[in-house]
Amino acid sequence: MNTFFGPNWDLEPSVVAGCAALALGYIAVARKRGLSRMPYFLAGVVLLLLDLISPIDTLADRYLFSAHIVQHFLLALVIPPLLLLGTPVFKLGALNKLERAVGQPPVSWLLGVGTMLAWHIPALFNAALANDGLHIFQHLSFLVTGVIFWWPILGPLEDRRLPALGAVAYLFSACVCCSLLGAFLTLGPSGLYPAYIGYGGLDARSDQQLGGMLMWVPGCFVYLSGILSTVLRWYGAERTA
Amino acid sequence: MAMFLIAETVFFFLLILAFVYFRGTAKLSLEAGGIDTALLLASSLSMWRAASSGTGGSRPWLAVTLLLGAAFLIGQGIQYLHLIRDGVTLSQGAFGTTFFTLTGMHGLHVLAGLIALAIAPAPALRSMALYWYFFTAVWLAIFLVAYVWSAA
Amino acid sequence: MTGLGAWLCAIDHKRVGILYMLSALLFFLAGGMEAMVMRAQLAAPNLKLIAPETYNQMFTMHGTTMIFLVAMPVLTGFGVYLIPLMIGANEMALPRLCALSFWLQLMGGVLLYFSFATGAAPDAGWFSYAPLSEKAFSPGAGLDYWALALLMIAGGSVGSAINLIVTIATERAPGMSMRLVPLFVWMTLVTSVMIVFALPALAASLVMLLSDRLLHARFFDAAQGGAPLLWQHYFWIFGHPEVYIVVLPAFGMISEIIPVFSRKPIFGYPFMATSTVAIAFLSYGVWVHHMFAVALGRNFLAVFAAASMLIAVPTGMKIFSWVATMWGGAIRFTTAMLFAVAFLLEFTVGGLSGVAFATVPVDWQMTDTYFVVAHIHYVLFGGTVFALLAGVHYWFPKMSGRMLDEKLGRWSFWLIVLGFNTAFFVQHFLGLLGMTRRVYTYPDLPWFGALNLISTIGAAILVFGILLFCANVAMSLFFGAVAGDDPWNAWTLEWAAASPPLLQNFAEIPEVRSRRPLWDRKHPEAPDWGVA
Repeated sequence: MNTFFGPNWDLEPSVVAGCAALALGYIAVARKRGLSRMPYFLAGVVLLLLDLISPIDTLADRYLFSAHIVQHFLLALVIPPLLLLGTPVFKLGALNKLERAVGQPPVSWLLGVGTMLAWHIPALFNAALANDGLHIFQHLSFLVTGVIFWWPILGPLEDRRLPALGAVAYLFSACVCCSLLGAFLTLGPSGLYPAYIGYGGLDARSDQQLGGMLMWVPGCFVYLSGILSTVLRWYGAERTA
Repeated sequence: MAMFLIAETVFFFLLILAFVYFRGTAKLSLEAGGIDTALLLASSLSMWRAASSGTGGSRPWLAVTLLLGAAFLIGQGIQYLHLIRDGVTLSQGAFGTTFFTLTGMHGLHVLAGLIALAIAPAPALRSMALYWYFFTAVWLAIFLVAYVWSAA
Repeated sequence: MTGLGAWLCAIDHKRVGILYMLSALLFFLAGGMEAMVMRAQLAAPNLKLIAPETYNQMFTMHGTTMIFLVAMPVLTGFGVYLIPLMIGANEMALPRLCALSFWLQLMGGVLLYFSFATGAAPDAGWFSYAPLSEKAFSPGAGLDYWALALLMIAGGSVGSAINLIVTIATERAPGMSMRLVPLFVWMTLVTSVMIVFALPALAASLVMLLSDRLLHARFFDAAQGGAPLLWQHYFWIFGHPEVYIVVLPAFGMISEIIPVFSRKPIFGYPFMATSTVAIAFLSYGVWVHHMFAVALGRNFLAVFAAASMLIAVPTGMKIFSWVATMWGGAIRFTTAMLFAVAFLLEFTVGGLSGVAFATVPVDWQMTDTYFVVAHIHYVLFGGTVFALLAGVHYWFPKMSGRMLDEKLGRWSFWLIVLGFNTAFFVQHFLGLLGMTRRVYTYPDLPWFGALNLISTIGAAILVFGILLFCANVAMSLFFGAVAGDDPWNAWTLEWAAASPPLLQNFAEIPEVRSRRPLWDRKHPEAPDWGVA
């Protein structure tokens, strides 16, 4: 297997098994409700798999801060929306209490944005690099809080979604926080994450700056796309009123 | 009023950013800053009482707010005097410039607020309360950034 | 109260709107004179018609006047006049704030022009970079006038923006949800929100500059720990959204005019509205493209270059939408429509030259040359002013009760188009040849003299066209044909009011069920809302 994928792939068996379980579980559960949204969900799972086992993971773990940012970016801002878009409408039932506690705007916003900000505190980020268990927890937390964050925007249940204006404010404020963090990493002090000493033509300072900029500008685009799709959807909702 | 306060948010955010960017150094009295913070917080409380009581009951609470607000400004003034005596002025360098501009602009807005509160008619009370809470919040941000974080 | 007193004390939104437009017209003529002085000085190499210091004052005052005392106020004026009418309201939400905002803006303009009387007009360019703007390098009072005047004008701007937001949010006719508002209303709303977020950045910059100049603070003084670059960042954080602020309401006007004279509803209303939101958000993220030549680091520049190119996408979407609206329509080339179509062409040219600047190496070559001057005039004059001319020709009947003369209109149109393009198209070449901007004269290099002379002649033709337009307005006010309520057979609510509207716009507030309420009224057998 390794020879096929090459030495730069990090074929962690638990990750492969987990993604396979996610995909199969989805097909099993969603089969009853219709598999029309399956492409989104599977795209999310495939991206998740690639994100964690492809050379991006190797680069991120050992060589480049900016690659690690790309990895987290996908975990928090790209994969959760795909997974949510792929989720068919379902009855909350026993999950209702959980949803009310955690899936409603102030909490979901804080969980999503807070997680993002917290993990960039140098002490925490560097600790996760050093400790495998913490690192797994870090990735899981990005994924889970990412899904929670995007729930009021892209979740399948219409009545649990934010109305248009609220959604715009929700995404805009998150975008501002993400931009501030990115700007700080780009323009602020370098050497925050000393495990990264530079690689492939990028010195440590440029690497940190690049990571900050990736968070700042492409990050903004994700939130902006969310805002624009919210506005467009709002226009399409009813023809004349 | 909400829209106006959004505009003010951008304004003060940029001033705070300038302060952080220059990362000046000078010793600010945490105690004095802390007392000022307490005064302003208390004045927000009395403002809230004023806004939530009926037309008759708001008067005494308004007076309390005005007093506490004035005390805040006096406290600021005393701090300014001490700093100037120690050679920290507006022209002193990056710290003096950013600190005095930031707190000065805030203080001016507080003063304007006090004047407005003194002459505002009853229906405007709700809007004025919002204004007051906002500038208390701005002060909290200033306190955290300029006093607490700089001292660390 | 009648006569002058009535106008001075007016709080009726229609009166205040007209006050804004009159004030803008006066300043437009002043700014135009400043431009003609410059063009005269530049007509041939090594001329000495005016002193270099005077030239600096000319370009500073020209830029400041046109942006802050013409473009913003006139667009505000149209907004203040038309918004209540378009949404079926009788007044702005905050009438006294409406008047206060106007007078603040006017007083700021008076203060700025007063500086001429003191002999020290501002002379550091309309964006007054530090450290040139610091006391050490600009000891006269000119920049103090500039900063104080702009603070007043900014205050007025924010006031009117807040007023427009509140009015649009709270005073719409029953049935007019935000999804059904005319595009001019939507774009004015987005612009007003942008003003609330952008103007405070200008205010902060000006406060910092005044502190430096008058109180000896050290914001931009490098020797004392300050940072001149901070001015550039803070100013352009305001400055870039500002250029969209002066163009979005113009887009709104075009979006009203083209459909009516194509006899087709606007193509892709949701995309028009959404792309406006996209432009608004993106405009806050590209300010560094005004600073590409300041050595900020390659990665940094690359990211902003990419973002700057991206912002062309929603703008391009709008151009397609307008063209698609015209496609297959029964086009009627009134003077308003002529200006609207010219707008499409001119603004596209301006947009293309703008996108050229997004490429960093091109910018390094072209920045501070006449290529920039060409670009800004194509988007600001070919864009905003052309749209305004279209708007005046379209809404003049509503505001005055009389029609503008079509023949005079066509003459002024062709003269303006000829003059404008002659004056500014050659400036692209001047920039490519390396002529820098803001220089009071230039050496006798190949082509420099010839192209500059062509540009000056073009400017003269342009002035003539503008004067013809002014004459048209003046004459038609007294001798124009009487217009009815709805001379263009249009579809939005303002055409249901009288021409000019009475103090109370609507005797009864209409109920709205689609984006074209008057179409519904005129075609009860095929109303817009009846379509599935």
